[in-house]
Amino acid sequence: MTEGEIELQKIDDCRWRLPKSAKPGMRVPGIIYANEKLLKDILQDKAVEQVANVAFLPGIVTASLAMPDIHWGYGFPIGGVAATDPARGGVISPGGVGFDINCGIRLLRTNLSFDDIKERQEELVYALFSGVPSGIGSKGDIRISAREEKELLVKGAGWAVSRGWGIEEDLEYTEEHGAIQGADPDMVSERAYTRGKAQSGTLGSGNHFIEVQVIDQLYDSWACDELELDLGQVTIMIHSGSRGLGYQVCEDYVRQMLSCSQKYNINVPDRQLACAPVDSPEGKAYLAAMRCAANYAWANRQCLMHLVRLVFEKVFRTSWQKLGISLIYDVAHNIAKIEKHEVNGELKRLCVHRKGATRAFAPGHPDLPEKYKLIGQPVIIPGDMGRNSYLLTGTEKAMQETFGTTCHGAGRVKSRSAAMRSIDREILLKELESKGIIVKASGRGTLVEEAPQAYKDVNDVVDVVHRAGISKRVCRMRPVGVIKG
Amino acid sequence: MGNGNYELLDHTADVAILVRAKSLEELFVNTASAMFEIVADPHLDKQGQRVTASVAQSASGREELLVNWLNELLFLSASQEAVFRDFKIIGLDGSSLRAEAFGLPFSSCEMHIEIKAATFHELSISEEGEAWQAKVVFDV
Repeated sequence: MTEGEIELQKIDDCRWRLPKSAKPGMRVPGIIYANEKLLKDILQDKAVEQVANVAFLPGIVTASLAMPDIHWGYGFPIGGVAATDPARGGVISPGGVGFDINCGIRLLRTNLSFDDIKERQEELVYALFSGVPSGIGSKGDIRISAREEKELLVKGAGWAVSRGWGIEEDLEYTEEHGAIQGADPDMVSERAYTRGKAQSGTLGSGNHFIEVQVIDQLYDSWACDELELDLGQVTIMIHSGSRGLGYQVCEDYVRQMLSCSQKYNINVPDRQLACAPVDSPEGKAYLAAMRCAANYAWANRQCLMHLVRLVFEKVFRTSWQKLGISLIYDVAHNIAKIEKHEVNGELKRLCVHRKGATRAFAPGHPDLPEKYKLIGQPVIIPGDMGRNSYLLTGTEKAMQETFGTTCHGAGRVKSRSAAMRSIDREILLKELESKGIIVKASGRGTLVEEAPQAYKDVNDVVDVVHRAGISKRVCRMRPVGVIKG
Repeated sequence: MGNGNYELLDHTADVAILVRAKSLEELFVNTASAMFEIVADPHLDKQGQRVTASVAQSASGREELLVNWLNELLFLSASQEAVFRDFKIIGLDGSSLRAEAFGLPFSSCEMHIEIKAATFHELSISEEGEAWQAKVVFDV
């Protein structure tokens, strides 16, 4: 299988190797998780070349990894994973995290069944659309002082809970308890503060969404029991990130790190991969600022969940507690984290970049909440708005092969401009309606650009990670109501 | 597609544009115009208070300068809640730029999609006589 000059070697039905010899300068090979069908799409754009480019990063260990939802991004491919070893000059790259730092997803359970909502589906979607600020330039009702903003960047979702927007239990079921340690607000520029102002509790634009879903397939009944999930049950998914604050943090540090290549003698084939050693002053400063943006995103999703709870209370005229709206889990998609992983039998401190990829820790991992110690970390995989989404769990195999990582979604296959050219908005809305899906979108272009036809089939993506053993299917959901930014 | 000065290129996840102009100054103006055309359209029936912003940027080369210019405009757009439509270049060489941008508040525009940033990925500026061309990939 080739992409231009690059030759991929088939390892098995789910794995392909991009040899180190594919591009002079690669320090490690690339490994792409895909089946033959997905690989055909992957080879259509420049994603494989980006897997090769990531393999240039100083200190990268084992391989430049790509999940089956991989597609062409900027710098890193989306769906790219790279771990670097700081003890061996390993670098951190803001391009390996992206502009939307801690873009991520949370999944909520309810004790409602589809029968409880089917008569009020439309009312619910419209209430969510008016109750949750979305779209470009949208502002929330949350106004905070400069001092409190700094507190938010350190405490993350915990800050929102301390204001009464959620409960302690929500933090238990959020990656890093909703606040990664080591965030230093002094490393965040005034410009980033300005850009993120008044955006807490707003959904954003593009592929960000809130979706009301119904569980339509169980794969692992034991895990479903542990997670208190059953067929026909209503779940809610919230996808958002760090808004303007995160974009500005990324931009500030990409700009700063452009000069690091000369200082640290780093040679990467794409300027968007600009990086600095993890333990250098520049690397430490970025990590401290990135953690602030990650915490901002967790606070934001916590605020969004609070707004969703309020909307459900209003529509169903009872408290969210009585509706059983509780958090299953919240995971980051775009983040770099210092984690311990075994490499060639040796436990190492690594900097794991996940750019459009999800942490998928195995059962027993110390970072998991007590409740998930036996089943492993819940992994939430949104599909497109017309097809399914999945709940998976992390596995030991992911710890061994992918630094405890799996896919993050369906992955785009069609460009936004191609989607705009080929998809009619009205026909799309009718198609979705005929499937029982009601959609409301803020931006004029968003709906068409995010149409199901623009995405790979998430069922194929999940099939690969399940068969490769880097995560395990638990249950599947189908959408019934979607609001888009 | 576009206003005649630019075309949208296929890029799977993000938005890539190819912009044409007759000079470097015009290239900077046309690229900024294209970026804000992707973001929003003005409501023809709803004109708000005109917003003005000043930009001063420097960089190690003209490509980096182009990205800095676009990202500065995105920052100003977000912080002033405005979509910029017109640009006046006061001074431009290969490493520094001074300009003014004029626009309309968000409330006077129909918003399409948020651009998070201009990136360095596949960034290029080329010239052949009086024909200038730039390629920029945006994160959306």
